[in-house]
Amino acid sequence: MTEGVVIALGLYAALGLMVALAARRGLGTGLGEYYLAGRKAGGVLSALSYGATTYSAFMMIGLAGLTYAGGVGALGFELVYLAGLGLVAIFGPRFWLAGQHFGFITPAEMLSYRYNSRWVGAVMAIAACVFLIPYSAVQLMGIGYLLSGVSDDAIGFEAGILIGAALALIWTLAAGLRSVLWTDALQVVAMLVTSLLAVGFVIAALGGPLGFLAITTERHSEWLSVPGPGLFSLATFIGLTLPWFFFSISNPQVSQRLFTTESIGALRVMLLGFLVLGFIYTLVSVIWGFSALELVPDLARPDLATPRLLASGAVPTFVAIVLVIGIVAAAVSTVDSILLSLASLAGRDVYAPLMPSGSREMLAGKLVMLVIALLAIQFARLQLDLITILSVASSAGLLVTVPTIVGAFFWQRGTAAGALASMLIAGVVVTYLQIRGVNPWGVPASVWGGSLALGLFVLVSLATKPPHERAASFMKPVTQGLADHRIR
Amino acid sequence: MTDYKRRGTATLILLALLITLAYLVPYGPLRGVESWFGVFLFWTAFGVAAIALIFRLVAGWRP
Repeated sequence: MTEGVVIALGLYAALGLMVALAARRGLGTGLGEYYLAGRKAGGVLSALSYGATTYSAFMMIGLAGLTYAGGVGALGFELVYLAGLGLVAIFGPRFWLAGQHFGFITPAEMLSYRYNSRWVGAVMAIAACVFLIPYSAVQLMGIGYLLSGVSDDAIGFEAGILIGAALALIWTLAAGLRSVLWTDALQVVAMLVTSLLAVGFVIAALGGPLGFLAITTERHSEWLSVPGPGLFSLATFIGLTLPWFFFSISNPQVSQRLFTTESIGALRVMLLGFLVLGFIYTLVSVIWGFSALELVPDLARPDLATPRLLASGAVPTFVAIVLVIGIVAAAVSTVDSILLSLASLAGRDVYAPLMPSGSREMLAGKLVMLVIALLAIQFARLQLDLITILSVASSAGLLVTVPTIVGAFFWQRGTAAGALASMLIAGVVVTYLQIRGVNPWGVPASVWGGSLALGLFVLVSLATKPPHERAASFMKPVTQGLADHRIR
Repeated sequence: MTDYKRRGTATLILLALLITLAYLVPYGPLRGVESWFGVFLFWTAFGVAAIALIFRLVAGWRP
């Protein structure tokens, strides 16, 4: 198995490198070219890349583990996220039109303009770094555990981390979003095909689809209900789904993609293609988790369900190896997009405003990328429990930016002071609650964070002077574009 | 209100209702039902319906 994994990893890395280098050809100059692929990304390629960026190692390890531990609630959790893509139908064209007209590179830059304050973008950029570096570290840890687990430590944990970080860095630095788009497309195909193949084998090992359904009903029927074995109480379900529902606009590595498509039509293809891809991958991951219940029962740690299932013999060695590569691909394709997005945010919204015009923003962004990768590696190496807590906190943390984003387009009365108070105070409170593991009065931390952010945004905005002129000039081309494209 | 706006608003309201049902039905009438034909089927159908509504939401765009 180890030899097979090493060979497969080598092939995967070589193929990815070829694709990334090929993407360099035709790479123009400028920030828009590097960070947004010149705003010329086609719909299908964007859909594939959006899928690879969104779906990380979490799906076949974390979601499968969540199903193993808590049952069908995991399906509802992930499908509520997918329904949240309705937000892309609302905000996607608005981001795109604003990006086209004003030339925004990052979502934070857009907010800085709309609220007429550099601080708004800077705070959003810093929040993204704080919450997404630990999240990237967890992806690298996932690669480390998976590779060391399936190779009996022939590939060490740290080697796994370094392999993941190196691939993500090379594929990002090669040609920015162009190389990320192309390697993502390759990786999402690997993720989908390998997981479908693997789930086919485990279902066959359980006597085919009917056998699988019958065995689950007979022996694990509790897992088919909510609250099920206990994990998915209604409060937990709401606490998990609320930040996830807003993921598509709160996480910059995906919301930035709304600037990148070549047209509104391509944006539509991206959204619809991703929905289909996401629905299939969700079902596959959940069914994989249900299969593990029967094939590798009584695991103390649900996150081990996938590595143990791969070692159970239910899946042929060849398929196990390709699935390992599929999971590594899922993790790397998420990390590289986060690196790129954070580099653009740090360069554009923190570094550039501090420097005189003509500053070397691109170089700064690339240096930031290296620093972020090193920080993520260092976090991952520490193997702290705190990292896991922070990664769970990441989606809840980024939820506090949602009122500011929504207000930018739908509430002209929203002010910079409201946005800053909302992101800063609610961000600190939600992080504190999550790190301490406290849910006051049984209400999940994410619900507290989201409500506090909304309340502060509204109240502080009402108490301060709104930038009416700026808000109007921001919305003018957006409103006109929406009417031209007959968009609600 | 123009036709496409009215249609968009109606679709958004339907989507919001559907998402509310994704919480109310599994934790209401289907709570504790231990069968593939319970919550699993409901949420799968919910996923398909949500995707269909988002399709409808963007179908009228004029690129």
